[in-house]
Amino acid sequence: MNWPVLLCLLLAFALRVWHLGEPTLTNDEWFMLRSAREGLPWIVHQARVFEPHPLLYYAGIALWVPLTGPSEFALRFPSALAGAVLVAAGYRFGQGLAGHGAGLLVAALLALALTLLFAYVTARRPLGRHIYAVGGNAEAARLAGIDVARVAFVVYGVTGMLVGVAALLYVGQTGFVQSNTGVGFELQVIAAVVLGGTSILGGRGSVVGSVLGAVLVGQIKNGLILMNVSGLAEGMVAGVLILLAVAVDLLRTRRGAP
Amino acid sequence: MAARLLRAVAADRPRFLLALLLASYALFALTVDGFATLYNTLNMTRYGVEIGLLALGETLVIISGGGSIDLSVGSMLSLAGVVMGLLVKHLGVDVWLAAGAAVLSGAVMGALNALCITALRIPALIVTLGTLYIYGSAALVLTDTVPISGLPERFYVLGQGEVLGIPLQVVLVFLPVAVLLHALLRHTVFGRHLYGVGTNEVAARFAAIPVERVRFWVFTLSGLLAGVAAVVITSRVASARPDAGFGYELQAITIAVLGGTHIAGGEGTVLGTVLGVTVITVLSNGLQLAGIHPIWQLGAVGAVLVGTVVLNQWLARRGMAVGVQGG
Repeated sequence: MNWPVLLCLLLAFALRVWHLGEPTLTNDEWFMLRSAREGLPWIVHQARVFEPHPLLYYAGIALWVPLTGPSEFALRFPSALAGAVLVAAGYRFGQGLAGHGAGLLVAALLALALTLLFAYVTARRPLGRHIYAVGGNAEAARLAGIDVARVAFVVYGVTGMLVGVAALLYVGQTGFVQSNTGVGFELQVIAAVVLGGTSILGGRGSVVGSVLGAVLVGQIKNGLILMNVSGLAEGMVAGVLILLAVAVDLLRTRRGAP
Repeated sequence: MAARLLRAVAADRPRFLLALLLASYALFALTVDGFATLYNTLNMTRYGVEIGLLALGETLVIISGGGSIDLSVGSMLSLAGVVMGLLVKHLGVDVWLAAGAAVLSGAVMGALNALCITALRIPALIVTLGTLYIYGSAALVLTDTVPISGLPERFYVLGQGEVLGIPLQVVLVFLPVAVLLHALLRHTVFGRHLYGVGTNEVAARFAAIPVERVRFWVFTLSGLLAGVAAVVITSRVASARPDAGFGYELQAITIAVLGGTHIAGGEGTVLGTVLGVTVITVLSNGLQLAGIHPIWQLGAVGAVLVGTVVLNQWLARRGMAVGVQGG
């Protein structure tokens, strides 16, 4: 491990530990303390009847607290230490992969993280629900007190930001910058999103669906190349697939509806 | 006085576009050498014909409402041109007959779009997005990406000839088509039905207007106009390029919207779209003669498009507010 990285890590760790004990305990931390007092059988029982939680972590805390006492600092210190150690371990792991694999790993991890973040926001956060509401019925959303213009502002802004991330990945993969990179992508992207089940009229769709749609489009391209089909026919296959996917989806939903 | 004039101009898009057209023409005439000559003024119209035809088709489609849009016009243009080139080169069909076949093939492609939309009831955006890939890819596969050239010389008169200095395709194709479509929208039952369907589909159904049939015909017409545009462009550039219409679909939609067509349907005129395409043609010609680099031209045209719509709406709203206060 090189020195600048180690220094950064130590600095981060120091900042994390600085004033670590200052805020008073939160609910979850009270639960940790209680677990430590009651012992292992109680922890296992709670995990079964109350809520699933990381058993190993609570068991570890139960061993840790008798050594250090129940101070705020002591309760929080293992997490801070584990964080720093994990970053170091991740760095070592990444170094082991260095070269071509590391880049792909970064791209995959970034895609995964963004997918999880956006899936969470669209499904669980007020902003995400507002987006669906505006798409379903803008006028009703407005009457329900949703700032429609703000939602539009946010979604277009986020789209622009994601384009920036995509550009980073693209340039990282290909290794060169071209002024016409991305020409024609807009319609391919719409195709992937539509394949993923997003309603073109708005109000319906999911992040995971869009990811699967994009994967499908990528798979088709890759499959056609492997099957030795001329790249020129790629559009035909993609077009037919779009129509089929949507037609099947419409048949399915219409049969469900009266 | 000035305020009233401003209001009158801002209130409707064709007048606004006309004012913009005159202003940009005057600006280029004063600043760019060789722009305001009779030759250049007449000759530049040549370059607006193909995109103008596509934009007219797009206007009809978008007026019909219910999310109607045609993304496949560029690909239909490419494929229709390729059909024509192949008929002439490989089957020895007479070139004018082949031109007729190209127009017909455009209509057939449009009708296929229309069937998917009206019979299978798949949203137009998805159908035409799918056929954008299918038709475009078919054009590439049929030609193996090699443009078909060496068509009979007499065919080039349509795209390269002129009468009284006016390009032939403007006189023989664009103006007649525009007049016919204007008459179709303004003076026929079909035209009234079209606006009815676009304004309120449910009300149109209750008024016994055959909504599906109206939509079927606008998409078919859009394909037919793409076929006509294919013949014109093939004649002008003297070859059938399999990528001739690449990227035209978004331009055509933009011009239709610039011309005052409401993207949600029910509103739009042939005159507005014709003015829209004229403004764009004047702008690109003027910028080109001014020696401005193509990458800046694209940005400038885009800025004018967005600026026009924003300014027009802002002025119209302000004009209305003034009117309310004054009245």
